[in-house]
Amino acid sequence: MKSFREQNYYELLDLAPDAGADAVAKAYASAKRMFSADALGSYSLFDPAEREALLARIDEAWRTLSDPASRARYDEETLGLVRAPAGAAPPQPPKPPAFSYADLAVTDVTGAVLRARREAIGLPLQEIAVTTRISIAYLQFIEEDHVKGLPHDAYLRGYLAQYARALGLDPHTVADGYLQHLRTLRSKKT
Amino acid sequence: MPGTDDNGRLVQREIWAVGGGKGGTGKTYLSASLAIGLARLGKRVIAIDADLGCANLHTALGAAPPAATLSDFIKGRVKSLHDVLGDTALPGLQLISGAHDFLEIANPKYTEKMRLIKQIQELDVDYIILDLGAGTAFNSLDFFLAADRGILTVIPEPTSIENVYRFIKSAFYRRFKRAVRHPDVKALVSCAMDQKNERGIRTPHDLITGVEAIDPEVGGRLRKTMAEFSPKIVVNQVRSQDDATLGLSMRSSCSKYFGIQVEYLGYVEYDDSVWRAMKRRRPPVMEYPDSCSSRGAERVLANLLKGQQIAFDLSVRG
Repeated sequence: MKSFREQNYYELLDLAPDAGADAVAKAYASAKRMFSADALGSYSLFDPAEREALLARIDEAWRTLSDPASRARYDEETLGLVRAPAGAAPPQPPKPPAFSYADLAVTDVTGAVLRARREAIGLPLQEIAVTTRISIAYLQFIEEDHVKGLPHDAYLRGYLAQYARALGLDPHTVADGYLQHLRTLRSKKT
Repeated sequence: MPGTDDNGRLVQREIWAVGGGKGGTGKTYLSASLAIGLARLGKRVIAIDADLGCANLHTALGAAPPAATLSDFIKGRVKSLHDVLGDTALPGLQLISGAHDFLEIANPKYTEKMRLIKQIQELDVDYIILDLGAGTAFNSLDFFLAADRGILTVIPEPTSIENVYRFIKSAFYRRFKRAVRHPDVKALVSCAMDQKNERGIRTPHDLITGVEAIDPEVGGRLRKTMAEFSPKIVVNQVRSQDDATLGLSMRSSCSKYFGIQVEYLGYVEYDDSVWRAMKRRRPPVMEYPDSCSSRGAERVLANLLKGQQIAFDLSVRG
């Protein structure tokens, strides 16, 4: 039995110690959501100071586990785990992706940012249109912040989530962030 | 609990209790669905309406109000629980209906309650399903703690979630208090049950640290009690992916805040079929076996039987 102050980084993010980089990023995004101030499952348990301490620990876990070198150091020093067998050549770290699932904040999301992400991995818009079956016009409108051309928010949320998945981004962050961004755009116009 | 009956046959006799704090979260629905599901698998099942005072499990099982109820047993009008057993339409499934006549039965004396629990534990069947009342009264807590598996139903609403947390905490402290004799430790537990206590004990975790300061041996025992305490959660009336992942979030919150390992058994989707069946006083899982809700209840049963939790890929949420 441990409170979050004594949990190790893996326990804190509900991860197995052999979790891959992608799983770590997803677990981090999910933990941030689970323990945000308005999260249904946790708001009644933690007071503001405790929540802040918990979120700080979660950030700390993410900083350590998202970087292969600091993760290896943490595994060895704190958990006593050595991953590569002695003598064997260390496995080549996989080519880091252009960006990670979790490094996009809700406040960062705009059409231009999403387009830049897509171009960074060289994914043509047509391909997303084919896999998601979202009209290419809507995808373009999203990337251009074309407020008038976009469908109703209820549909748009679904499109954004699918578009985010196609890019390997957190669908929640992208949908919430973009809709927030859209509200700002609309309020500026009126 | 596994054991042998009078003839030396191996019997499983597992008791499952379904509670959950708030009313209207599907305790009776889930109890009836689990009991029916087990009976269909060929198990011998007794469903007991332990909602003393507000009993209606018989209706959820599609049975008529029975002639004899728990109150006859509690008040000593009949000697054995077997005398209040009623049959249902399903072979293998019997029902003990709750008291719904006298207000005083809702609060039986401790000795009456313990006699009831003892006889429940001696019933010769494969499974006993206890449908508990709403709230965190000692009645519900004691039945919950007497069960081999304690299941809590929660719906994705703040009031329900708050009540489930309160139930977990109360059940845990009650179990704690029964596990210790040391007067100072007992006093400390009583003090901890008051959320605004002056000693700053707010979680079971704080409490154990406090107990260890008084008596390290008792503290160690409580740590063991705590590790063995593993309530199970079922999220009911799920309408979205976020609702379904609530169970994961509650599991993580309980481990981080209370230090209690909760298991997330699964979820039941909201659909009209439950309401339609209930209006006709028919069990939803029998009336609409292919509905989303019935399949959800079946998955929960499967996980209980396999002793596992829901398999969930976080990446599908969104």
